Amino acid sequence: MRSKLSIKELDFYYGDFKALHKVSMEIEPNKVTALIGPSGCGKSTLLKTLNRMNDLVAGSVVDGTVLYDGDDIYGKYDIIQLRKKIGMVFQSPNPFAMSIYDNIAYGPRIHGIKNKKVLDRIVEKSLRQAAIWEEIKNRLKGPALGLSGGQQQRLCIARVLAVEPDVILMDEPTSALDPVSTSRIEDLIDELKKEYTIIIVTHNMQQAGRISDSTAFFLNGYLEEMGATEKIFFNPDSKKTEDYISGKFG
Amino acid sequence: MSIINLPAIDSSIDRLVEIERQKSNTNYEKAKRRNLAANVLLWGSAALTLGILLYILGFILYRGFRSDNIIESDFIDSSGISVPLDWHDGDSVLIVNDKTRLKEINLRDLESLLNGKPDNWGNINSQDLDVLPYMLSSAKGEFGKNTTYRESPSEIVSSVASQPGALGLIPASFLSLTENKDINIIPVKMLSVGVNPSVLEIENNIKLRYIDRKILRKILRGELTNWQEAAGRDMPVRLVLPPPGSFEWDALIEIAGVSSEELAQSAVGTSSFDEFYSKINSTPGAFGMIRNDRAEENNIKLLSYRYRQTGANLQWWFLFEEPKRAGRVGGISTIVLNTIYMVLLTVLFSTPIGIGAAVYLTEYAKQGTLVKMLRLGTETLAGIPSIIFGLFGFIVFVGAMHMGIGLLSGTLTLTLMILPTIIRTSEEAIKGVPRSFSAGSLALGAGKWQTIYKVVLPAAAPGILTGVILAIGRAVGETAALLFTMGFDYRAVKNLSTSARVLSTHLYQLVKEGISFDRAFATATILIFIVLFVNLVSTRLIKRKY
Ligand SMILES: Nc1ncnc2c1ncn2[C@@H]1O[C@H](COP(=O)(O)OP(=O)(O)OP(=O)(O)O)[C@@H](O)[C@H]1O
Ligand SMILES: [Mg+2]
Repeated sequence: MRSKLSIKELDFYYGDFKALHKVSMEIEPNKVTALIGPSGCGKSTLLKTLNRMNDLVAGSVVDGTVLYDGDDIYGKYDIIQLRKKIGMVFQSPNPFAMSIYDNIAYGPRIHGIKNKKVLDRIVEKSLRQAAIWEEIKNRLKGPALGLSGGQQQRLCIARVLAVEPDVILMDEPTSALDPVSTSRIEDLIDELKKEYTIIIVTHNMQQAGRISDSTAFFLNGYLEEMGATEKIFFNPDSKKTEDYISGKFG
Repeated sequence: MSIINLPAIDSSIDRLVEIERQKSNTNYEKAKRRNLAANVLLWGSAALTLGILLYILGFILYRGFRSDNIIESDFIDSSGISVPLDWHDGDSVLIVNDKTRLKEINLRDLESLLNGKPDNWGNINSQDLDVLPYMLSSAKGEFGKNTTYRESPSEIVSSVASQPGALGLIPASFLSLTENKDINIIPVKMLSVGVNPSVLEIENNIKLRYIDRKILRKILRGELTNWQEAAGRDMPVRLVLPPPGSFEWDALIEIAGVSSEELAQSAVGTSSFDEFYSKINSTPGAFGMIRNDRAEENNIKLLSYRYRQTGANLQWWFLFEEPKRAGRVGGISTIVLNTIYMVLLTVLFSTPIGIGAAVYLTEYAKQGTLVKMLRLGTETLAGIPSIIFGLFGFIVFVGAMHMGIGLLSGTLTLTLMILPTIIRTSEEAIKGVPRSFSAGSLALGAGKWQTIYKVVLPAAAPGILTGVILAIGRAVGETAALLFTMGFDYRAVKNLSTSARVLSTHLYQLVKEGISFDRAFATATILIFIVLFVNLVSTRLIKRKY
């Protein structure tokens, strides 16, 4: 099977500080890939190189290639198209200070969709996909910031889905949520992987075990080990991976 | 038994620790007292500030809604409904159309109205209305050109009822037969205080300037027997009584509040008016209550009477009537309109520029020396006295750019003045929008400008709005910057280059030219309410946002 994303010998610098060292990995389509590792090891940095959000950091330098469906995203790739295709869900829910409806319609609108009926359809579909439609269908005009944390995060997922992405990047999407909301989002991720390729950063080992198909373990900016989740969890090649999984450090 | 055995040498330190601990206990008491003192001080100054604020606001609003003035006049503040005027046999009653705002009038003003000078109510009750007097034809030829004569009282009543600004005199005996909702009966003040000239002479640098009701009553009751007690010269008071049964007699008894037997013992009685007037003129220290219109012909000197006049001040008409004669007459409708234009234009000019500058400074400019200098510049500008902006506007907009004194020059000057405030508050508001908002937008594929325009600015809107409102508050109350740039024409502006008077400059003119404190306070009250209204509306707007 052909990789959705293939990362080759990627180095990343914040100014003088080298945050990623020769990272190479292949992300398979319609799979959930979990990125794990101790704090500061470069998980978020890697995630942000994939939709070029790191471009916003002054003084950042990328070296190496990232191929998305075979095209080099650091080549001539249009950054707007890229971010449309590779959506991102942030650690803490960040709905805009608008109504629920406008939050979801925001993406389609900036990409040029104006027709009210079309927008209505997209909003409903995205909210259904994000498993939040039933809860909020009667308050679409209400403020998004009035929702609970878990609802807000599912709203943010719906907002990403509304622009019809291909890959969804999630940076610790449940770290700010309670267990019930967390399990709802996990169910959602399981559902979404039928249609999307998902890369998720998590500090929660059980979560990685529950939802991911393959897992990549990072340490100090290096990709220590990557493989099928079962293998990484029960039979890792690296001693450091084993120590980390078993909670000896991290 | 201690588990750890400290070396013996440390026991002296232990004692020191003990002593310090004890001290700290007394320190604690001291700190408690200090705390209390600080609390009292803080609460005291908070209460004081609040008190002063409430006092100022309360004072302005009180004076705005109630006129409360000390008046010195030739007339005593007591008036009668039926008055013995020579123009009719028997008593007369003054009626006016109920569109005329009049609660009472004195005889002199009434006479001048009837004589057609002035022919406008403006000077009497600051209402821009033509004076239309109606009299019985028996008085034909005695009054001014604009007086119309009618055969019967009922014709006068119906004429007065049908025209605003009309007034008429009808026999008091006819009044009971009249019931008309469109006319009002107006009491007339007729009486003055007449004295012997000796009372007004200067002695030891003291001259009696006026008396008030309290002194008047004391004199009538014989409780004040020397003019010295009324701040006059050393001279006995001699009350001269009018002929019993006359109009003056009845009024005197009423003011004295006692029966005729209890009047001053030393009072000099008279049996005819000739005797009454000559007694006043011949008796040193004499005093008498006389009809104002008789004073001149009988050579009687009048003494000023001082009283406090209260009544409603600000009423709806003040808002809706056009000002006339430099604001002496009418209301402030056009001035309010000009103020609204000024605010709208100023907001129109300053908000886009201010927000644009703030966006540039926060989102686009390289955060370096240049931006720091720009920021310092705006902060300095914010602190410059507004009159200097006025001077600048006068030289640059009015002069060099040939805009002339008018709405445009004024609002551009105001724009310059409030721009720093808007820029600073907008900058803070934009910086206050969480970075995650723009990150979320950019991650969806939005461009930088789209993100600013659609996500950052709406989220910053409440803060920006607050700044704009602060600025509106400043603009609405600004006077100094407008003195040389906007002009003082109190008519409604026709175009951008028309000179325009606004509430603040109107207030300034009213006080500076001594036109009327009542009107100044009424205007101030409107100004306060406008600011309050703007604040309320804007907080509503802010609350409706997400
Ligand atoms: N904008 C930045 N400028 C400079 N250094 C940064 C920046 N962002 C991250 N770093 C550094 O890069 C390294 C990797 O950071 P990153 O955020 O990718 O870690 P992480 O694995 O996501 O950690 P966590 O689990 O705590 O989120 C860290 O040492 C961090 O200090
Ligand atoms: Mg991270």
